[in-house]
Amino acid sequence: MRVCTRIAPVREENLVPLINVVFLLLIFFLVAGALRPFATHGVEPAATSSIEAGGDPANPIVVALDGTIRVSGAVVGLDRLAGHLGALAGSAPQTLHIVADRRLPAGLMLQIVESLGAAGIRDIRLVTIHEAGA
Amino acid sequence: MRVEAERRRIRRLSLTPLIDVVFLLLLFFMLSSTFERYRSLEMDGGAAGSAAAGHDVLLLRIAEDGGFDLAGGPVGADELVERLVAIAAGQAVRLAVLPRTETALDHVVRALEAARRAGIRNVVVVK
Repeated sequence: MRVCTRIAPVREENLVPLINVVFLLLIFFLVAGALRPFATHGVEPAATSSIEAGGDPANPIVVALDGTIRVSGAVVGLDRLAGHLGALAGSAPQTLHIVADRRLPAGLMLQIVESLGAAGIRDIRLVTIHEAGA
Repeated sequence: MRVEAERRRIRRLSLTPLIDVVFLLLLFFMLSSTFERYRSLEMDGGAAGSAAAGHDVLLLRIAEDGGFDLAGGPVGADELVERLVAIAAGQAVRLAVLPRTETALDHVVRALEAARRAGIRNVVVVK
């Protein structure tokens, strides 16, 4: 019996189709996606469908379901929130965006809004996710 | 003096660095992009007692399960906008949204959006 011991020739794989696909994916993400304007920390905002587009919320505070408040990533207690925001901006900001979980109890949310109002921040906007239809 | 003409070697350009860079770009955009479109909704917490100040204040209660109760009568979530339009019709109405402490924010947002669609601008959320 003859055993064939032919060595397969080492050949460079044809990479062109791969590059084509990767380029297409890259273009898809560039065109269809937008850069994440803030870190959500797993928070799911409520959905709305009839609000017209505005600018992306700049530097929002993020309120998780358990009531943890984050200001640009750092956890801040409710009692120190207004002071912390004032220290960050130099003075108390006029407009503040809040990213809050859709299941967050309304009482907790109102408590936060109230303490911000007491610190002079009256223009509070709740960040929602736009859903088409309905 | 003999000048030797340099022979140009035709060599295929190596594609590997290009692929590396494109892969890195792809990874970056996959990880940092989002397909969600964000909107913002004004939420007026209202000063304590401000809702009771006027006499033409419409009260919208929201139960824990998301049931709406407009001016004393239950209202379905789908007919909330119509009811608000019917009541607001042309006149300046103030709406006070009163959720229970444990009501999910989702329902409050739904109420605020309905008021917005009904053209009511003067909305406060009270507790």
